[in-house]
Amino acid sequence: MMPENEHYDSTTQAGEYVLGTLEGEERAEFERRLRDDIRLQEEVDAWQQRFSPMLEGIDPVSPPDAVWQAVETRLTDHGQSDTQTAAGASFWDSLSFWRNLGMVAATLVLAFGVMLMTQQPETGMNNVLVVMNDQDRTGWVVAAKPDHGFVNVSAVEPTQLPAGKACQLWMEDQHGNLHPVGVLPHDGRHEMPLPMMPKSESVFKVSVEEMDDMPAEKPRGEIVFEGKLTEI
Amino acid sequence: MANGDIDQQDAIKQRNQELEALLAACALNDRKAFARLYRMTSAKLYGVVLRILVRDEWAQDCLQDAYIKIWNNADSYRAYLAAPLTWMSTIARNQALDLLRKRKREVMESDDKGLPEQVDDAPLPLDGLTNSDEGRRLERCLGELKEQQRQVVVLAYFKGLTHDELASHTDTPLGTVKTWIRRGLNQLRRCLENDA
Repeated sequence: MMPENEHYDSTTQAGEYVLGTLEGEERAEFERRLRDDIRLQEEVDAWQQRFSPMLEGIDPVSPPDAVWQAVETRLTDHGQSDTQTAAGASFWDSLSFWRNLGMVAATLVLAFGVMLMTQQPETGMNNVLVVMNDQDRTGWVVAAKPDHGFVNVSAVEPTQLPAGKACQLWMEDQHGNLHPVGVLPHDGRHEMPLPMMPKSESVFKVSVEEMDDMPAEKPRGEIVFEGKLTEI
Repeated sequence: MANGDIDQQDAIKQRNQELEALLAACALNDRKAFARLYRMTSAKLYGVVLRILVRDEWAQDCLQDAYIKIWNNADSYRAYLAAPLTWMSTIARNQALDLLRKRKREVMESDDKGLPEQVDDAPLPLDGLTNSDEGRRLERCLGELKEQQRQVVVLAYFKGLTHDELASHTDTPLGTVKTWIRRGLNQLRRCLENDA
């Protein structure tokens, strides 16, 4: 029934998917493509964004207290893997459509960090950088303070590297030259001296290096991440 | 722009910053932050799932699932892709539509005719659209669609109706409904892009 000249392409199909009208085999087929097709994921993202003001117009309704109690119980009883098994096999479960930029670009800057603040209020570390790991999850959190010569580096979910390799943190100066800071730790929180005073928006990079031959001048291995300090 | 608007925008910005920080803390397993996140957002999300599911018990189950998902996926939230409440509301809507599809399948398999009428007569909540620039744009662009196109797009978005269901609900041939939706989506996208 579609007229020959009707514009029907991936963009429109992504719109139908977000709208919810794709069904059955068409929907399953679309979800299969969506898993691997980053451009299609971006189309879906864009439609989610276009329609999202519709959700803003909905009046809030207070849910009964029992809902929160049930959520808490589930978190306590089942730990974190709960919905992976409970929620069924929908594509939405993977939520990878919100992640896709991380797969395209290894460079991410995120304004994170309340956790660090609450843990050590005395240091006044009010700038953070979240270093993503190879799974595009939080690998390390770097906390800094402008004009303070140290950073605190906390391991959250570090990238698992082959034996003999390590992630080296670098700080960029105003001329774009990199200076070594230290090795990103496997666990715990470590204080590291900085080669220069950090500012808000100081740029840091991470390279993968040979552990027994860490470069002191400039990275030899691949730069796997870069990001800026962000004030919180 | 009136001062009231600026105050409101400041308030929204502050709230968004706090929500972003709370999501970040959730990603680091901070249950207190999660409790606060729930307190700040659960009425909003409950409104969303209730709008789609209508039934209280379904909406409450769905809200639970949505928050578990938010907790499990807090580390994949990206502030540059979406405002926190948008991200969370989208998860809630998707969760609600998934639940609706699952219930429909169950009903079909059991041959039970007991699926409640999901298309209630409640007015579709487009009034609140004018609270933000994006909302005003969307409202204007929806307004440019033909009445039937707008109706099927909005019904599908809030009620998760499939092409077939939309056809029977609007008493229109399936092919016509599909055409309305495709044209409506194309026109909407062009309008929003030109307007941006």
